[in-house]
Amino acid sequence: MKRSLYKYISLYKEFFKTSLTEELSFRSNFILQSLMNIIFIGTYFFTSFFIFDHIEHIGMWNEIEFLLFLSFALAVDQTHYLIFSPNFWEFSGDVILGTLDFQLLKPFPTLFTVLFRRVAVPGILTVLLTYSLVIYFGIQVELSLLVWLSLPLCLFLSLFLLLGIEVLIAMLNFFTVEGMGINQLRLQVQHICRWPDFIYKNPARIWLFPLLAITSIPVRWILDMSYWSWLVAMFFGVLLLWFFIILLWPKALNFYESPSS
Amino acid sequence: MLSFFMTIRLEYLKWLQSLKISLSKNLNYKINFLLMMVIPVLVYFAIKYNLWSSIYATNSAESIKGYTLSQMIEYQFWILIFELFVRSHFFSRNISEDIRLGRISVFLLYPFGFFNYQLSLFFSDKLIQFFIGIFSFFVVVTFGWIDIPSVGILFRAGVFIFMVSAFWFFAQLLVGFMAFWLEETWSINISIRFISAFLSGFIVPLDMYPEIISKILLWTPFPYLIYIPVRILMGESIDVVFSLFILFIWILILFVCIQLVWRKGLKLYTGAGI
Repeated sequence: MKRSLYKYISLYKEFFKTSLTEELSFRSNFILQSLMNIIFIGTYFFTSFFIFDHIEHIGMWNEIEFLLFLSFALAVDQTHYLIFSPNFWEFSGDVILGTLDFQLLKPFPTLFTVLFRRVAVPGILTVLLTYSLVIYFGIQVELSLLVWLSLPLCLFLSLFLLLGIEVLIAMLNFFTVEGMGINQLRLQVQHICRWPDFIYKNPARIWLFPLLAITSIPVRWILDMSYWSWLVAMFFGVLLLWFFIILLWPKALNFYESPSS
Repeated sequence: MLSFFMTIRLEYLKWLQSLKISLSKNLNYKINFLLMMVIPVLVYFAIKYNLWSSIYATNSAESIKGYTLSQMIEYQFWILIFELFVRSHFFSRNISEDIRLGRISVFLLYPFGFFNYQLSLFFSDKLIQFFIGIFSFFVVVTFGWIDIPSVGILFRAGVFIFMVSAFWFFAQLLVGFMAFWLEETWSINISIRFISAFLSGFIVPLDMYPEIISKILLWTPFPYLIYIPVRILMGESIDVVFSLFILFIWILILFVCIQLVWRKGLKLYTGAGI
């Protein structure tokens, strides 16, 4: 077990090194991507500031609570961008061009190499920025010690719920000829979960609940510990989702027709 | 005289063929096209509709900065329609790929230039979007979510649709041409999208912004991309001539930049794989 974990960690180290070398070879692109992420975060925050110039609450949250939600949602988003996002774009290309063959031949589970092989290194800066914002607004709302300690778990749960849903969407690549639309669909999931669940009315709220849960459940718990049972339910939900993905992935791979071989 | 007509006919055939190729390309991947062009606009609309409904409900506000809930929803519905007309495809990504992979070499030799080819792609996109926009407009009107504006207002909105589409075409072209110097241009394209969504009143009407920012913005192209046309469609009295003049100046600036960038870029260009 320990040995196999070490194998995965060393492989990920190599993936990271390769991505870093590649990104640093094109420095202007590195700077532009970092700038793009900062603009992205800035637009969300300034939009919220301008809205809160005229109102006092959004749903049950005041400005600081809402900004904590936003920081958390963007922290999840930027962590996802750093670790997973480029891999989804590459996966679409691999399925179309048949280069997924190379991943299938590697002595590692395909899902691992597909999801982790590329790191969007410019995202490091904005990941740090969003984590700092979560800490800053967390101090403002005076979070308890237990909540501070649970923050990494909350981030982990959100990230893996988002990732699981995106993997399910990405599997649609096996059934389409062009992958851009599928990736657009994935981006829409990210858009939806950047807003709290209570802004949506039923039946949209019920139908979209798995997506809204990504950020809303952890932040509900962070702001009000009586939501602990929601967090526990989310934990089991994420486990169930990944169990389902692990079962479904080999079946989906059967639909892959390599155009190159 | 005969040779003149022959030239016109030849030009017409070139445009027609390019348009046909591009149309069939888009319509071949129908689901992909819908997922890229329609779904994002609908998702954004759904988010904004729910967000503003929730804001008005929880703040028990009759109006926020002069907007009642029904006016705010009407504003968002008009954005939905307007966006479906003007939303542009990922031109710049294709252009930069063409430059990076050396595919523009063929256009330097063909009797149909690169700019003309891109323009024909743009027209084919607009043709499809025109039908999507018209269809959505009728759906929204049929359900009574918005009222049909007067012919005069529709005409003014039509001029804005044309001008805004032209603005995006030139902006995308300019970003695409950056590939002569840069490895990737998509981050510039996406950044422009974020900035324009923020500064054009896509989420929040611009009169909710601090006054000084709203005033400065009037000299930039952003308010004329969404906020001003939507206010016109809502029946507000806006100085249309001034608005179109500012937008025209920005399109002109973009056009001049494109010419300069294209000329300078071509001098740097190395046709890979020839």
